[in-house]
Amino acid sequence: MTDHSDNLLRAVVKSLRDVVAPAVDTADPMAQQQLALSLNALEFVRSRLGDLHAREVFELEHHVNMGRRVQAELGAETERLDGALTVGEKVLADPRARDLSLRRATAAIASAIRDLVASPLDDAIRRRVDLAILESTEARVAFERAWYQPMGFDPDAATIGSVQAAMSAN
Amino acid sequence: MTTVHDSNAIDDFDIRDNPPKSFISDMRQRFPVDTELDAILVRKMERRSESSYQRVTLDEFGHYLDALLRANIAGDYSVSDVRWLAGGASKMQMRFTLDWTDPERGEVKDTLVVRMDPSESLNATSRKQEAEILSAVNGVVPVPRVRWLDDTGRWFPEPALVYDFASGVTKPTETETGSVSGLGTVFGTQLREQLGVQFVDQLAALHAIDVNTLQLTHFDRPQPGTTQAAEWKLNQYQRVWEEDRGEDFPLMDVAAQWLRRNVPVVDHVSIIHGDYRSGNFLFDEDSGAITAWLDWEYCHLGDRHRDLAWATDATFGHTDPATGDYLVCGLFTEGEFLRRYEASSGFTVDLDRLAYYKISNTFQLIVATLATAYRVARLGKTHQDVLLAWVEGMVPVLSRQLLDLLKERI
Repeated sequence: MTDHSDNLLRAVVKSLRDVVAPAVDTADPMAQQQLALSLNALEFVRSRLGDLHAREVFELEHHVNMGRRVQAELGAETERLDGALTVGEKVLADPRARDLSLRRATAAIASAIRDLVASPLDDAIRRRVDLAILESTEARVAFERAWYQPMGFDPDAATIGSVQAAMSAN
Repeated sequence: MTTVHDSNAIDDFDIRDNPPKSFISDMRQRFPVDTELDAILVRKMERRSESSYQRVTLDEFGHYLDALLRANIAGDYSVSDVRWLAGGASKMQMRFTLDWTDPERGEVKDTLVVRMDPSESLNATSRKQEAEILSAVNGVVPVPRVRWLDDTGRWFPEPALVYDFASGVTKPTETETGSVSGLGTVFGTQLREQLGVQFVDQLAALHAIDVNTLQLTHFDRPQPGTTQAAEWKLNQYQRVWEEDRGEDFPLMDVAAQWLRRNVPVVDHVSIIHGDYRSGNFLFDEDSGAITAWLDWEYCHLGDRHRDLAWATDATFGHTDPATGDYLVCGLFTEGEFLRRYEASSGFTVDLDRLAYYKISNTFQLIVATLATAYRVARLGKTHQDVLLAWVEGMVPVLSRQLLDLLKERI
């Protein structure tokens, strides 16, 4: 049997909208607001179901790229970051890697970068490291803007590309 | 510093679900903050492993209210027209009508609001501070009058305050604009001018209050000529980031380091509203008069540039469809806003400090939406976890803003 999560979510949304919503007290603004948000949240997750694994891969690729750039700017051995990057690349190369493995490898790289940023650095090196992180973050921001675009918070929505285009920019 | 193991870095964030005493004391040591806020943050962490928020019915809320009123009103009274209020992302609010004998005004019928924390809020803030500031600024800017304060949760399950209900709307009735919490409201040309004048003049009046003449017993006072104002706020939000988040974010690490290296000196210490923007004032649609400023929970003593930068945040305004200009809080361009503020207040606007506080405020907003909203919703601590989980959608907008601001300064 193929995965029917999408169908399940579709049915839940329909049930909430057609059966539950009319029964919710119209004089209870909190209930009304939360039902509407719950429906939006379910629709949002449904729209992203097919890309959840690809997002984990994107996140790890992004952190590996950022880590490699930071490493290059430091110009010295960084044991924790080097180790985390090696693990990250290995996980990326494994086509059967589970989402949790991808997520852990991502977290390990981010954690190593955090400690490096917090460590004492020569001013010139710090500036280069900071810029490497900022420049790398552009791809992540572009991706997340596309991912969360259906939520409607972005005041500059016309400049947002597709999730797939943002993922391939890594 | 918490220990993070390479192989399992994500699991280490779970310590924040049930923080040991050593974690809490480490936070206090690394990030000293205002005394009252320190107590609030410690309380938050000590209660974190307690059960999730349990739904309170309107009847139950009415019983808590009755207990408070019995303890504070000498004569007879009656409560009617009790109902929940929607709006806002952090506090529970209930409206009711009270027939009672006020010692000052005699027999009166008041419409009042109870404002109570959930088990853990999107903003760990103090009802004592909020009540004290509301009383201090009453008469300078329009605010609801505080009637009673339950600062320890003696009558209510959590700290709460009771104040006058203020009439008015946060946005024109006929508009569809404005997302959660009144962000991005479009006012239209006429209202824009009417509200804009008051928006600036009232901010100027607030900042001009001489804090040395006020008996504020629940606030630490940063000293003019020092970096304390900025440093205490940075400590507060770095601490909350450490206490609440479920992941690392290198952009935030760079921002925190930049903010630490560039803390500005404050020249004049003012009362800061902390959330001064459209969505947080009510106005009368017929007259265009601002009837009340709400949501003072971020209030503190500090640098006026904190409020100025907050109002200019891109998530609170919108682009003018006619000109393409970005409108601060939907009211005016940033240049116009700052010019009017200087003219009305007599204070100068220091563009470097403004830039610092734009970065600092964006940092704070990412702390709230990425870290606190995540932790609080994960632990089911509020009456509206779905709203907190939803505001995660603001993170990329804020990240883009932080990125652009930092690129100009690094």
